[in-house]
Amino acid sequence: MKSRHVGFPNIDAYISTIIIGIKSELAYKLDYVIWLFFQFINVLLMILIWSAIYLGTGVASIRGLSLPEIYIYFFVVYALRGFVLTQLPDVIESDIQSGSIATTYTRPLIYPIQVYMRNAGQDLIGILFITIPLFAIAMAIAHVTPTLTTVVLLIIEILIGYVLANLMGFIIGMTAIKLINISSLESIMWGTVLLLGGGIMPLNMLPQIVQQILYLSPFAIMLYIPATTFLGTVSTGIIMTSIFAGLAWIALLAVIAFITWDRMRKQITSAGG
Amino acid sequence: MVEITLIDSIKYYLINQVYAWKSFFAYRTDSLLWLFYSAFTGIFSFITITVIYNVSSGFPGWSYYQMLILSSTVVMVIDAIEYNVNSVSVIGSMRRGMLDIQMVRPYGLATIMISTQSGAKTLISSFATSLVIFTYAALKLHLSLAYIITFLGIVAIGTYALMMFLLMLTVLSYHLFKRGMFMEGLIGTLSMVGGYPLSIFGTIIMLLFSILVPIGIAVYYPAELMFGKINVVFSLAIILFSLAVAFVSYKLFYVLMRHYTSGGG
Repeated sequence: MKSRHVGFPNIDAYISTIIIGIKSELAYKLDYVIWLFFQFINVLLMILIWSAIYLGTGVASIRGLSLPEIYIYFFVVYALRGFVLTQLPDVIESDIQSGSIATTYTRPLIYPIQVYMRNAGQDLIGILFITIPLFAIAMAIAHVTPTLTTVVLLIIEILIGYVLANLMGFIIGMTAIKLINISSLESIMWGTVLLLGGGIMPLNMLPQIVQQILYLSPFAIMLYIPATTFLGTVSTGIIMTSIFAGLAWIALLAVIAFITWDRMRKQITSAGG
Repeated sequence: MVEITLIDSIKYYLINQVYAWKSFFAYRTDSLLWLFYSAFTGIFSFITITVIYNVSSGFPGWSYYQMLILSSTVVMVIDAIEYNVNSVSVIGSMRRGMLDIQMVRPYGLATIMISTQSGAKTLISSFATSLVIFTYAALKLHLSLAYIITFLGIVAIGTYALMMFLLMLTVLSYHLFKRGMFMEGLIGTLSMVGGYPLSIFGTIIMLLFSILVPIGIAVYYPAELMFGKINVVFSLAIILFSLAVAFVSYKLFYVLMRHYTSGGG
């Protein structure tokens, strides 16, 4: 299947795609409110679980993190989960399964960018209703105003994590062209990111050798590094290692994504409807 | 009128399971990946508990192996329930009118829902890994077979009660929201809460998950009995309460189904 070659990016069309994504996300408002409710409930339960561990152990800090820092850690991690648990593979899978890839692909827009823009609408809603409120709570608990350096580092880390998550999501989404049903792969990706990225527990609780490996992986930069940068409990050396490792992973995954798309797009068939 | 026996209902359930398993393997690669991933969900909780006990004293009054019993049991209980009651699928089929054609069959409505809308088959591998972890922890604790059988018996009663409760709640969710997001979120929260001693969440949350959304009767209280944290009288009360939950949920389910209107199709 061939798409029309577009020489100059059609910015208006891409912006419209984002707006459609936002409208789709808010189509079932009650669903969204319920989802938000459980996000807040789960972060509170996670805090209660760790409170019991700290109080039961009777220590002021575990592996350098005090109980209030654990509270902040989980608020920041839950704030960032919306960024990294991308729905991009789901969007591509849905296009393939429903057959709408045929119409989507023939639009005068580059498909990978178009599909990203559709997902970006959902990301923006997540930022508005999850990331910002949870970050605000974290700041209120921490009683600190982050320094300019912290803010800059946080933005860089979050952006790297976001790009990595979307590149991974795109590569996994591309496999739908062959496999049709990729919900399992999506779940594997989510589970891996949460476990190895520090979404279930801070990575400094893991053995030293595992930590060192994870700092070089694409996962730590997604949740753990931004959360601990905000807390100020991670060394500059680890931050820089993770940032450079993240950039290297972006370069590698971008090449893989480009090659995958170049090969897979020739095999797109539309069979749904 | 055709007389439907329990055997007929079981046959109907099993025939639907064969069909569901065949459908599941229609996408072979995806189904194998699902089984692989699902096996890891049991291991995730094992890793979490192990790390927690490696860096701290863990949860007050609960040893490492006791916590492994608790966390592996909750995974098995939720898997067993989700295998039979797939709330999102039930609500979806009600909304699209897909359930209507099934409802004309001469079986009980609960049987029809459990048989035709059963959940992800992948949960079987998650159940298997959790069973391995459970066995490992039980061996380390030198639990007698009598204790384990008693425990699993009470867990089975609690699981049945919780399953009926969630089936009723699924229909209620359809009436209230028409979509499955609430049930999806609730089951996720139950999986999280049930894997830890309810006492750590404070009295209000403990009562909430013991009475209002009774995950406690399926996992926490049976475990407390096995580890000698509650007496036999209290555990008998838990069994009676479980039976009451199952009965009331079953009755409410039929009341709610009387007011069911199809969402179209």
